[in-house]
Amino acid sequence: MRQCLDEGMLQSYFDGELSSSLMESATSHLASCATCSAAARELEEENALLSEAFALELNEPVPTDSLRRRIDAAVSGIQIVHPVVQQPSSVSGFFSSLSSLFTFAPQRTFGYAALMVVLAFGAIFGLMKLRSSAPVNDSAPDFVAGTVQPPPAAGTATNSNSTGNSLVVPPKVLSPGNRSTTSGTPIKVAYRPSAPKSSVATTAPVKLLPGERAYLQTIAKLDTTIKEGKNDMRPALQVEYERNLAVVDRAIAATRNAAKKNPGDPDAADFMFAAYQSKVDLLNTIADARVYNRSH
Amino acid sequence: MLESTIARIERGRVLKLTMKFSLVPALLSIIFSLAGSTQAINLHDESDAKPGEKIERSTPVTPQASITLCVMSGQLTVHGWDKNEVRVRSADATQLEFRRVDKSKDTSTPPSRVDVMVFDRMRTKGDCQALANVEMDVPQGATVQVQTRDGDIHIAGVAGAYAGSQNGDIVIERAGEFVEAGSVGGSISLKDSTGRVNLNSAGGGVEVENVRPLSANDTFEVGTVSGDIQLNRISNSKVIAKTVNGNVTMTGALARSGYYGFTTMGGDVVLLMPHDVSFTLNARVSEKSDIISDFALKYVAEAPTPPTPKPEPAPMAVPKSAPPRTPQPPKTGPIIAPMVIVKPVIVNPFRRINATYGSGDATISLSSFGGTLRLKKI
Repeated sequence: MRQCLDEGMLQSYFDGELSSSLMESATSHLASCATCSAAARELEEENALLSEAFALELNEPVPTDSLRRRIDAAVSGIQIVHPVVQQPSSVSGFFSSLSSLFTFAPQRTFGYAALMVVLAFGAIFGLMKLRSSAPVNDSAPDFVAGTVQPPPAAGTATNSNSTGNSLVVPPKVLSPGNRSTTSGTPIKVAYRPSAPKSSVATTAPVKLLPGERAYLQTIAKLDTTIKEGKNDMRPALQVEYERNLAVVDRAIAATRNAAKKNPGDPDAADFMFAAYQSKVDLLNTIADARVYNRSH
Repeated sequence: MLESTIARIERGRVLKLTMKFSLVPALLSIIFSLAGSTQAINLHDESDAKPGEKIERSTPVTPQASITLCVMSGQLTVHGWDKNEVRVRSADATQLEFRRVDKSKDTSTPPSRVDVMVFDRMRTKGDCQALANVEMDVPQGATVQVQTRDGDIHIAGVAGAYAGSQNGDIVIERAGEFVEAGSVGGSISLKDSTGRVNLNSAGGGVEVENVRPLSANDTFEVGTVSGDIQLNRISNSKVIAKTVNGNVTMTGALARSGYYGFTTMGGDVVLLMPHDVSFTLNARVSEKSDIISDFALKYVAEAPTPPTPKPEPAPMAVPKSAPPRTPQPPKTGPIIAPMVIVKPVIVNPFRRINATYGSGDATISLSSFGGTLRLKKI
C-alpha cells in the first residue's frame, strides 16, 4: 500500500475490522509512513481518551443491578414492596390525573374506543334479554327436555302401579335451577318461554308387561358389557352378532305386540318371554366370545 | 462449579449404565430360573421345530384323561385311539408342550388332566394364542375340550367333547358319553353318538344324525337363533329344540314315552315320522301359525295333565324375578272332530291344540309364534 491511510481506514484498523490482507498492508504502511503513523497515534490517543471518559457507563451491567433484582424477584414470585412516596398534595394530584385522562394520545384513543364497543354490546344484549323475558307470566319458566324419550330399555327408571304394570317415567321436566343430571351427562334443553305448563310435551308412558322389566334389566347389563369391549370384537363376530340380534329383536317386537294386544293371555306372554330369553342367551354367547377374544 | 457439575452428571450416567448392564444378567438369571421351573412341570420340552417341519409330541395319560387344546386360529382335529397316550402333531407350530394340571404330585403315574400348549412363531404365551393347525390323538375314553376362534373343529371317537368355535364349523362323530358344542357363526354337525347332547349356534345350522342315550336321563338339547336345525334318528327320551327364526326338521321314530319340545318364533317345524308312531300333541300356536298333519289326530278339549318335564333350570343370566312358567290350563275352545286324512289339512286358527295319535305314548310339545307345524309320514 503506497497511498496514505484515510481516517476511516485508520479507525477500521484500530477496531480490527479490516481483512487480514488489508491489515497486513496497513501495518507495513504505518511502519514506513511517518505521516500516517502520526495520524494513527493521534487517533489512538483520542480513542483512549474516550474510553476513559465513558468507562463508568460502559462497565455498567445491562440490565442494571436494580432492574435485574426486580426481574429476579418477579420470577421467583417475590413481591417487591415499593415504598409509598408521599405526594405533596392529593387534590392537585387528583386534578392533574383528571386532566391527563383527556389528553388523547394514540394508545389511549384506542382504549377508549374499545371500551365504547364493549359498552354498546352490553347494552344491546341487556335490551334483548329484557324483551324476551317480558311476556312470561309464570314465576319460573319451563325447561323441557328436548330429546326424544329413550326406548324402554332396561335401567330406565320405572314406577309400578297398583295393577303391577310398570310405567316408564317420562322425561323429567327440569326447572332452570335443576338442570344437572345424575349421570353427569348434559341434557339438551329447549327454552320455551310462552308455553303453559299443562302443555309440556311428554311422550306417552310405555307400559311394561309384568315380568318384562327383569328381562330388560338383564339385557341392559349384558348389552353394556358387550358395548364396553366392542373394540375387542372382531368384525366377523360383530357382523354375526348384529345379524342375529336383529332377528331376535324382531321376534321380541312381534311377540311383545301380541302380548300387549292380549294382556290376559299367558301364552302370548310366554312367547314374549321366550323371545327375551333368546336375546339373553345370544348376548351371553357374544359376551363370552368377546372375553375369549380379549383374554387370549 | 460447572466442571464439577458436569463431572457429577457423568458419574451419574456411568452409574446408570453400570446398573443397566448389571440388570441384564439378573434378568437373564430370572428367565433361566423360570424356564427351569417350567421344565419341571412340563412333560416334554424339546427344541423348537424348524420352519415347515412337522413336529410331534406324545405323553402317556390315564384312559379317562381330560385333555384341553385351544388355539387362536387353526383347524383342530382330534381322534380317539386305543392307546393310553396323547399324541399331538402340527406343521405350523414351533413348539408343542404338555402341561400336567392335575393335582397329583406323583410323577411316576400318568396324568389325568393335561393341557396341550401350542406355540407358534410369535411364541407369546402359549395359551390359546397360536395360529396353527393341530392334530391330536387321545385315548378313546378321554374327554377333550377343544376351542378355536377361527377354524374348524373335528372330533371323533372320544368319550366326551366340549367344542367351541366362533366362526368355524364343528363336526363331532362317535362321541361316547356327552357332547357340548357352541358356535356363533359356524355350523355344528353331530353323528353316531351316544349320551347327553347340548348344541348351540347363533347363526349357523345344526345337523344331528343317529344319537342314542346312554342312560334314561340323557337329554338332547339344541338351539339356534337363525340357523336351521335338522335332527335325524334321535333316540333320546327328551329332545328339546329351540330356534328364533330357523326351521326345525326332525326325522325318525319317537321314543316311547319320550318328550319332544319345539319352540320357534318364526321358523317352521317339520316332523317326519313313521306311520306307526304314537304321540300326544300339545301345541301352542298363534293366529299366524298353522298345523298341517298327515296323521289322523284326535283332538281333545282339555289336555291331559301335562306330562312335560320339570321346568328347565334357569340359565345364568336369566333374571331372578323372571315370570313363572307354570303351564296354564288350556283354553276351552271348539272341539274339532277327529279326522282321518291323507292329504294335509290346515287346522286353523286355534291357539292351543291338544290331540293324540295312536295310544299317545310320546309327547310332542310345540310352541310356535309364527311358524307352521307339519306332521308328515315317512
